[in-house]
Amino acid sequence: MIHLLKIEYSKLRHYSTFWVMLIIYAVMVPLAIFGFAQLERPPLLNGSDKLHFPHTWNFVTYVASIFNMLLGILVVLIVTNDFNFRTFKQNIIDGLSRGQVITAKFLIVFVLALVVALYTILMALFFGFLYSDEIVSVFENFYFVGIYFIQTLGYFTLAFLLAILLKKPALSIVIYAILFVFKFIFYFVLGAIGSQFIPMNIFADLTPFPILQEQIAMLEGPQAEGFALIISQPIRTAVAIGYIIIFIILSRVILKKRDL
Amino acid sequence: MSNIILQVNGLSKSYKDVNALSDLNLQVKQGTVFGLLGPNGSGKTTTLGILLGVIRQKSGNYSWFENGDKTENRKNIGSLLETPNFYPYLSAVRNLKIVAKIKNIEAPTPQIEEVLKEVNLFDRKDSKFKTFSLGMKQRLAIASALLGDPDVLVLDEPTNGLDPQGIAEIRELILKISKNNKTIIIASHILDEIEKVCTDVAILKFGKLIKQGTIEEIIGTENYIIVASTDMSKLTQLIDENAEMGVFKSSEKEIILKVSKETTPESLNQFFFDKGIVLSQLKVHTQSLETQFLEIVK
Repeated sequence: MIHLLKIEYSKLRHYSTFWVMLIIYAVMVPLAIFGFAQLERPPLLNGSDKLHFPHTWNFVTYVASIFNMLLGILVVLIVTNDFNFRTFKQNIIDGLSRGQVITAKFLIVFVLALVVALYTILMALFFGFLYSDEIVSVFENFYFVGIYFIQTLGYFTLAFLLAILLKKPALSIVIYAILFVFKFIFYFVLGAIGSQFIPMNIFADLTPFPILQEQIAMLEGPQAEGFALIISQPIRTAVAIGYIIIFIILSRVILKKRDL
Repeated sequence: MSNIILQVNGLSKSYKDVNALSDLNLQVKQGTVFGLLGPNGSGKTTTLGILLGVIRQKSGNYSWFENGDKTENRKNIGSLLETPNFYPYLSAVRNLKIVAKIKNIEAPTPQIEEVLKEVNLFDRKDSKFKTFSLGMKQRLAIASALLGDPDVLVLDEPTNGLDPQGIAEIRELILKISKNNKTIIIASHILDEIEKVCTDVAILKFGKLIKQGTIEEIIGTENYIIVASTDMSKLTQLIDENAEMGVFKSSEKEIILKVSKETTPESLNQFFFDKGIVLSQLKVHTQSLETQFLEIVK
């Protein structure tokens, strides 16, 4: 495992695009958190109240998740590069098995998701301590980070599968971005309930718009019917993990069967 | 260890409705330089692709080192398949370090420097792969194949893109390596290349094995000699009368004769002279593998 991870890392260590995209992500996330925090419109909490513990965990993971698209594109690049340079093929010729090649790739993506989750923890702690007047219940709602990690992994494995399927970077990125940005289209096609089970929506809803769920729960009568069913967080998390496992298995099967 | 390095049994592969390879059987012994010959699209690269684990065969099997098709076998095979495949943004050394990691080579730096010197790329060791010319890329791929001192080299069109000097250098390198009881498998359509380095040859056409044997067996028991005379009609007549001589090809200017190995230019000259013909041209046709090859794949 460590050996495979080292091989993958030596491919990325001097790949400037990788570092540039990580830096863009690292800069954009705090800027966006700060920017969103200035918004004063209901149903959001007032101003910087959003960043008080324990609200900060929901808010920070929500804002950070918007930039997961950027990192998803990075995952597409990492995977399609090896098709583009024919180095998947060369790695196998040189003595890796097909299983090892895909495991190595998945491991590095997994580590990337871990790093992103850690960075988000740091961001939440930073803004939480900066804006909270009194430091109480710091780690209440900390579970959002775990859910955020699953979400990131979900986006990454979907990007991974697309890259393995399509092999071409431009095409994979366009389709990934369309799925990411226009996921609301499924609402019109599959209805309010069905569309929630689409992988992109399952992943996106893991870090819900802050406070929105409480607002909806408070609705009564006819107003509430439009939101008749919102999948509960535990079920959503389980479905997300299911999708992740399916994406990984599909990627493996495709790469194992294909001529390179 | 037994001396059979590679055994191929009934290997077949088809792409949609095209049979790229049908029922290929081969055996490669240790220490041979094995040439896989064939025109474009005859199945050379498909064969090597299957043997190196990147293409799935439809049926049949193969065994390296009498150890089946295990992944580990490939760590002891240095390969160059089709094109040089490297990370364009990494230097020659960093690319080779990845290969060394895959092949589990400990402390690879001295070895990497050695193989880069072997292919004359040492001066450019820290240049990025994308800045290399086609010939340099090809030489890096050969250096990569040499890494770890494998027992077998598989080289697909190894002199592709090289200048004449580079071709000569690679040929010498192959001959040098083959002296150390290493086995080398070369796929090529450049017959000159095969003839100069190979001990054994297999000829493929439309995915089928046409002929396999040592280079002497393939080149055969015949010599090809070019003759010409000022009196071409009398020369033709004499040749027609003589059952031992066959005409391989003839034109108005010269005739290429197919004669037995025992027939030397000297004896031939004497024969025609005795019959009253003075030859204006007498030359041994050197590209005998090419001649054979063209006849075999016709």
